[in-house]
Amino acid sequence: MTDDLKQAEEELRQAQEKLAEAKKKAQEAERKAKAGVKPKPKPKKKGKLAIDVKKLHFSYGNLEILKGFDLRVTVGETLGFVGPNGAGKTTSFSVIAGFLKPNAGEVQVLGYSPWDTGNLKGKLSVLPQDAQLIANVGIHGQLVFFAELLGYTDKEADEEATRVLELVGLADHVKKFPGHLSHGMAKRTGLAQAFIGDPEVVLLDEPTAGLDPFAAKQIRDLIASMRGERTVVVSSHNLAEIQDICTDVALIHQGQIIKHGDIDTFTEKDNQLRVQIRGGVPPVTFFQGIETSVGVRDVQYEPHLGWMTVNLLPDAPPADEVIKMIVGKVFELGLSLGEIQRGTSLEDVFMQLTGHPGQAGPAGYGPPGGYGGHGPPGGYGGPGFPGGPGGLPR
Amino acid sequence: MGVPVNLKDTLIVTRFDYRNLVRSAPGVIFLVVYLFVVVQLGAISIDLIPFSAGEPSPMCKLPEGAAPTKVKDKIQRSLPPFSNVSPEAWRFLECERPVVMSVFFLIALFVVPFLVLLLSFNQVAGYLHRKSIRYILPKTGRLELYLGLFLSNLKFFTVVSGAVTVAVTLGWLIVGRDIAFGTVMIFSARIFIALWLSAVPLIAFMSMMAAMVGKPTGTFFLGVGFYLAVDIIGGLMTRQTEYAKVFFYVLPLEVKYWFAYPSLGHFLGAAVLMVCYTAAYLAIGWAFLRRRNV
Repeated sequence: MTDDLKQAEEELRQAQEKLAEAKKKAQEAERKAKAGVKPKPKPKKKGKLAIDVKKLHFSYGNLEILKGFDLRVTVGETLGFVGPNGAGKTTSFSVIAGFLKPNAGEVQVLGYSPWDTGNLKGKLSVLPQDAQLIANVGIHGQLVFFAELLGYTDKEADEEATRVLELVGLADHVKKFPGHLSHGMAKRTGLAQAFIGDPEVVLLDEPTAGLDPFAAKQIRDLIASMRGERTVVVSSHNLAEIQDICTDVALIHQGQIIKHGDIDTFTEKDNQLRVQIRGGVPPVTFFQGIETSVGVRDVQYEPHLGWMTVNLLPDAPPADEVIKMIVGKVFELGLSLGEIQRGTSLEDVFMQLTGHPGQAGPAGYGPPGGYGGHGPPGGYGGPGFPGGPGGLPR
Repeated sequence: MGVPVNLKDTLIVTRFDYRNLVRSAPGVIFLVVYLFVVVQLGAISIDLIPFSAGEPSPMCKLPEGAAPTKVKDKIQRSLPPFSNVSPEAWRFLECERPVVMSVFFLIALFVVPFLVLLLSFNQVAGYLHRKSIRYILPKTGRLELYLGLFLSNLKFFTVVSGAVTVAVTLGWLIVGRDIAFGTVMIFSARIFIALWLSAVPLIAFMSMMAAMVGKPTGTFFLGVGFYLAVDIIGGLMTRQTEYAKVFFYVLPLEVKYWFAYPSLGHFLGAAVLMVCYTAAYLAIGWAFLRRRNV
């Protein structure tokens, strides 16, 4: 009898929770309807395009910034948008957000032109890179204003402003004015406005630039928590950050996307292993042993940092097995391991593809006048070390 | 083809910007200058009312159409607020009510539209210059922002101008006891409406300049410079030929004096033209803003 009662109570509690959730959803829908926010297409299907950019051209006067820029971002993707300074990242963000009018090409966000604010209201949010907060208005007041524009009532807008300020760690600074904020605080306020409401597509232009490590981590965690739920495009020069939080990467160079794909493919996660060997330099026979193992294409070694790069063949056994084999051989020599990475770093890919000077490629290994030449001549993307400087002493 | 406007968003922008205007540089400059100039004018008129409230001016005893005295004629032809009013209108202003009230009206008509430029130069230019507009655009449209800012400036002017008019009217009523209550009230209402209708197109003119220029200082100097250029060059040109008066019509500089005429036709005509000026300036400004890169 007691069990039945407990079960009934549990069912009642669940039903009440469901009812409360349904009510909340209904209120949200009502608010959006009042604000002119068009209902979200449901369900969010992976594969549907959130952002579709075709053959985009944009110039400032005679200076052509975007030169046939193409980008397709699927719903739910967390895309890292990387490229050298002046490559066109901020410009392409601005065109996608509807701030700049392209000279040619087509842009669609959730199937609408970015200039169609009526249909995109509440669905697209943006952290612009160089925008300043509104002068003479406290940051809480500004966020309340933004929330009201998204259809919140006065009270709801006040609560929403407080919520997003807490989200970015500014709960103790609600009364501050833009003039009293540090660069990092202003940036976090900008981020807070991008998280108001329930946007489907979030464009963040350098969200952690200028933030202290604690705040940067907080923002990274926040972005990571949105993975799969929203479409997020993050522009950043911090490639390790992009590698950490994004599912996909697009590399822009000289106004064009030169590579776009999921981060594992991008960094050749299944094609390359990097192992840091500590405690001494292994003999050449060690490298020869690995190179002749099943599935290994070649081996490179950087003696100054102890990194060994193992490039795998397409039909290689699972990477875990290769790692196990390498680890065994390292321990057999009485050496220790530093880090193990699957795939190359995003930074290396970036350097290689953008032809950035000054990044050395790994040297080959081998005896003087012997093996040599396993590293790409000139290293990755630049003069770097010549491949195979003469090998290591036996 | 109509342009859809989200009225709710427009009013949210208006409410937000209106609250901030009083803390902003344009709001403070306008308040200080407006209160200093117009309140001073009002105070002078209140002081002088007892001296003008008795016998009507000798001009009023002359038969209609009679030539005014030489001194008066010279004043009327040389001082801008008076030179723009015909003898017929002047006679109406001088004979139907204490002349100092009419002088206040004419000088206010001359000064107030110019002072409005001090208030309204920021508008969308401030948002464009600081790029704060990039925070707003994903949440509402450009048109809502543009109109909302125009309305907040208009609301601010309405409140300040209304308060000053009420204060001056009270002064007239207290000091000028010989004057009929109805005369003062009707004339004050006429002044308020005329000043308001004269200011609206100038606020719209600055909305247009702000959308075109995109920088507050640039908008200020170009807007004020253009106004003064039209006024001064137009004034100089009309001394050469009457046809040059057309030049004045680029801005509502000539039309505003129609409010001083006795006939309702002039008043309504001026009102309609002011609405047309406003619509034209707003439309031109919108044509720039809707396409411009922000």
